[in-house]
Amino acid sequence: MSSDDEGGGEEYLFKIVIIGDSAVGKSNLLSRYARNEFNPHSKATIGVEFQTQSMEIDGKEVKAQIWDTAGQERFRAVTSAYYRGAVGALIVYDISRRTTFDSVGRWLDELKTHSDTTVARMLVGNKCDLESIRDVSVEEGKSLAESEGLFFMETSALDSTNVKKAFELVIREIYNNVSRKVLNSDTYKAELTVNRVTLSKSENDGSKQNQSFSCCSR
Amino acid sequence: MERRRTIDDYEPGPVPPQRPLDRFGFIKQDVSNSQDGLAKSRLAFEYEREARRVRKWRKMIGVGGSDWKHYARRKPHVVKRRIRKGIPDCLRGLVWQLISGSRDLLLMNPGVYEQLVIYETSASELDIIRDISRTFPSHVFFQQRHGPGQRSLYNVLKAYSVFDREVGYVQGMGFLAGLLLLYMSEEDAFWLLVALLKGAVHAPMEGLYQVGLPLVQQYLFQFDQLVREQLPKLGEHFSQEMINPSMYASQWFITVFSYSFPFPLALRIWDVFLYEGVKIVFKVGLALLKYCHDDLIKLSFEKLIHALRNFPEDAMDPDRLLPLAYSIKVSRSLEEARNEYEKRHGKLVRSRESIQEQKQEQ
Repeated sequence: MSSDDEGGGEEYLFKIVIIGDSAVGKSNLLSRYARNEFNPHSKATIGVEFQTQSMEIDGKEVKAQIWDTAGQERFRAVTSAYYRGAVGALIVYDISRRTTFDSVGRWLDELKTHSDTTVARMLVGNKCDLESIRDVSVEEGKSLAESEGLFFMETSALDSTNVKKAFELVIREIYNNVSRKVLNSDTYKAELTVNRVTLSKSENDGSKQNQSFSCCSR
Repeated sequence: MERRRTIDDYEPGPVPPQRPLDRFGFIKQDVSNSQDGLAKSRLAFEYEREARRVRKWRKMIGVGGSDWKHYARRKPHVVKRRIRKGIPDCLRGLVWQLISGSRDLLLMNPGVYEQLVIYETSASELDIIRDISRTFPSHVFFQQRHGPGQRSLYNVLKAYSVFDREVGYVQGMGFLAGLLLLYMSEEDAFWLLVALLKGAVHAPMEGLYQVGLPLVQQYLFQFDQLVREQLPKLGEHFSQEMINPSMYASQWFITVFSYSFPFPLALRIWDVFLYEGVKIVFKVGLALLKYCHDDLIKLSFEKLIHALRNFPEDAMDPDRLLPLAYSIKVSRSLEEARNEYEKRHGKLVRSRESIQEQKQEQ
């Protein structure tokens, strides 16, 4: 997972998958994060797409290898192979379409079945710019995330809200998982689970706390 | 009237285009108005050549395709050669229907399409609607919301999802249907889809879209074997970099190159695909890898993935790529790889069953 590359400093490479129902905005979340682009006329993803993006943590270069998968159920036959080796996952739904939220449980099962390691998971309610036709409340998203032990954020690939934050939070959590693994004591594991949801809060100062959960609560 | 129609008098479509379109109706990516004398004279030369080809083709297929079957039986090699050079664009729709066997299906099933479109309902309707605007979004015919293009696309896909409820609607089918609709009516496009998926002339391809995508898996396995066999160095490099065909070639098979390849190339591939079958997809795939071999072999994982999804312009020039593709022989290897796949796949199914049995016993 981590490697010393070409004589440079320490480098990390994390594999992350983006999953969720068809047309919730997975590809646009990725293109917004990796290239700061949004395409309102993007094509449906067939199979898998791939991007990488780097960030720096503790002076180390951390590279995320992000796999964007087709959302239609039928494609799981080819996309689930990509869960293997993934250490992070964004499970995306569309806040204006409840059925995509109802599917989150199935996506989590799918992830559990096919992944082979600890996965830093974040529930992402995308399209939060569509406040006027919201179908899933912030609280519902938050409480599902808490009960499943996921991070949670609402995002908008369209207006960029929280997109970078969401990805970087997952990447940071993976980084923490990896560096903590070195200690690998039971107390640390316990702490890790407890910290799951709270970690996203502690990242921000108190006044911004709510904003990290909901982008549209102004 | 038929005789006077040449390739340059394409119809502009229902909505006056705001942005410049290419000759196929796609919005141009880069707008350059400069057309120097050289390009113009080359264009004139090409039109003349195109006109000669159209005359030859008309003679070959006869009025409304009446002489086609006779000719194709008598001189299959001439037909194959001419199709490999590209079907004239103004005859493409008709010829596609003749060579795919869809025209016969249409004639044998009067009224069936109308029945499917008007009276039946499909469980996939919402899924189809969601993807309509995400199919060829840069083409003028499919751009207008609820316009004739989008409506036809919806109708064809819905009809098919009713016609074969087991397959229903799967993302990717829209690109096949969309491509066909640019060259023929809804009903004709529907029957061509049926001819392809149910196997009117070649082996059925419905396995591309059935649960588990079995044919996609098989094709990817076969392609992997072909790469190792025909481009061993590159195959080895791919293994080392952990690249497998599912990362770059799924779309090639699922949409027969219609998803992201330059349209002129996609059309030329479809000409051959409909006449000779899926072999051409393997050949074109291998030709792309072969053409870019020396560059690809130097790249590491990330750059490789990018390169395999963004081939250089010259590699995608049909007159360069297709002759290379035609020169690659795949029949025997494909057959062997399929046997191998079936052998392993059989085992795979059995082992999965035994795992389930074990689970039940516990």
